[in-house]
Amino acid sequence: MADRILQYIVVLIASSAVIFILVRMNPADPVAVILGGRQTNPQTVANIRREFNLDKSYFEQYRAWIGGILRGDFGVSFRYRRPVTALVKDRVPVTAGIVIMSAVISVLVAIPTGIFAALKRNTWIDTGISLIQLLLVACPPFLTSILMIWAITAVAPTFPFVGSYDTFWQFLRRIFLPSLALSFSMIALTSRVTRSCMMDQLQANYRTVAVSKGLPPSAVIFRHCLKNAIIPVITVLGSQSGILIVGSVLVEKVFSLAGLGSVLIDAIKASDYPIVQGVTMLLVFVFMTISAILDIAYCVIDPRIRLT
Amino acid sequence: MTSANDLISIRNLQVSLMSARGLVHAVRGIDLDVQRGEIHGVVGESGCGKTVTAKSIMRLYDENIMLSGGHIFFEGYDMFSLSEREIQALRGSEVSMIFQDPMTALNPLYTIGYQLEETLTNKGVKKMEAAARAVKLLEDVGVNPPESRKSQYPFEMSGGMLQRVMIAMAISCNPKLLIADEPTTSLDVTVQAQILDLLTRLRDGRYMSILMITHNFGIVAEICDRVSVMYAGGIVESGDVREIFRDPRHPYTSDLIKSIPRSGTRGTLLATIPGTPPDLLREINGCAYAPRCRYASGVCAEAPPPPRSISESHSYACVRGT
Repeated sequence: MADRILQYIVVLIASSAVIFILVRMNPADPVAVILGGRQTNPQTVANIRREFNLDKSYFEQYRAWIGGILRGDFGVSFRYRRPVTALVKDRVPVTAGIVIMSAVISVLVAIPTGIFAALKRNTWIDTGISLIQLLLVACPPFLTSILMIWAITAVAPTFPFVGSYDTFWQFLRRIFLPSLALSFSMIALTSRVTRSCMMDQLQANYRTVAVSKGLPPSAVIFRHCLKNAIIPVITVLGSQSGILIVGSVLVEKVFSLAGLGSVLIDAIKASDYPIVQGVTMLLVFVFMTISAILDIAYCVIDPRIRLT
Repeated sequence: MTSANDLISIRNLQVSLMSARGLVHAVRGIDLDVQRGEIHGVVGESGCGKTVTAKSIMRLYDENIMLSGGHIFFEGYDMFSLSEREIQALRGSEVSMIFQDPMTALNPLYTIGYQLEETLTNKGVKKMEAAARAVKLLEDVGVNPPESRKSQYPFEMSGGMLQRVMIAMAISCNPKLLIADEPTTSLDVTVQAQILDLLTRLRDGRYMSILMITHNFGIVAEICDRVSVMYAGGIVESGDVREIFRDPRHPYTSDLIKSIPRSGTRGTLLATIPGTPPDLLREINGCAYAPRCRYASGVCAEAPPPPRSISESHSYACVRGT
């Protein structure tokens, strides 16, 4: 356990350094962004550089940034001159909501269809499910989003996919469509993996034994086969969670939601170092938390992993 | 003809399986009786249809296996007329089975105690009683100490121990018939002997019948009362083990017996049977063994050999007279 935590710390430090370097490889000069095209003289430029520590060496800048993070201070946005935490705080629930909701939709749809396809393998039902999966994985989220908006306005014009929200319920309704659009490719992949893992497990020897003990088919399929098949599915879910976070940036734009995505993209374009660094570190942290949870899930499910 | 002492009677069983190359006629009309309390061996080469026959009894079919004809009577009831639900009730409680590879026969994610108790609770035994009976069963099959072994996972145990657990699971609901499909093939020789000894002991103590599927004639000689010799999906000879060992009538049986390694034959070549079994995709007109048979003549390839009985307890299928 201790070396796991050490591992996470090493990854955090390494990724912070990579982020720091990548941000500074952007050719756009932050000072130009801060000035916003106003008339200026060398004295103002020098002052701004001093104000935002841009006159110091890269090493000094990095140390100041990390030191700030450890105190919970992610710096001040160049463009808005407000703390990054304050700028980002309101936007986290939107992105988190979309990512969580689309993950839940994916799991609820993908695992049952995957099991069903495995049980009905090589029948027209299996083929039908495969075709739908192919279609879903081939559609990029922004395209499905647009098609969805088009379909919704035609079929149910009263469904709220734009505008503001006040209650939690309204919030959920508002993020439902973007989450659905985002979940499609994850549904396809997860369902596919569930199907193939389930098919392997249905052919395992212990399955024949479970049947020969007189267990009913439901116990054989869910208690025995599914528990074995789910381990690789969890791995896929974990790697897909990163794609979801990135994908939410797209659907937020299409559905005009104020999430982390638009902040991040605008900040990258403007070389607003503190925001880019802060948001990216947050994503790294979230991603690592997810993989830590998955590691624990493996141990709970599989006793063979527990010992090593 | 089924007699009252027959626990299970197989009549003209025909099973086919769908393979990538086409329909394989794996079992081609066999008759087999297992009497109450006996250990009945089914012996033959790999792919002769032994396992398919065994699985037919419990209807443990994959989707590519299909029954094409015949009947299996269990205590007089026609098994093939039972619904899936009825056969499920029979599995584990009346007929149970142990398998070739104990290392993969148990679910890796559950403790052996759980899997043992699950068999019992599934048949309506209360949880507390199932736990107590599981301990007793493990003790009976020689898994010691049963209490701590119960909480172990399959990967923490050896093949021999796992086969004992499998046997405990199979006998947990006191079945009348235990089908043992090559139960010792993947175990080393000393463990093999222990498992065979355990099976014989359980048969004696519980008066259950065992259908022993094996390719090893040595095992047949050691523990079986009667034996059916299978070749290419058919039974070529069957009867009392001692009688068959003393006086094998079918050339395949005698060739098999000759190919058992014996002590005191160091330095001499082990007898083998030349050739390979026939392709089961094709129709076989005459005697299936004719192409490999020393005594084959023209008549062998023309029509299937008629079954002959030389005594109440010994029959074979070969044109060669006595």
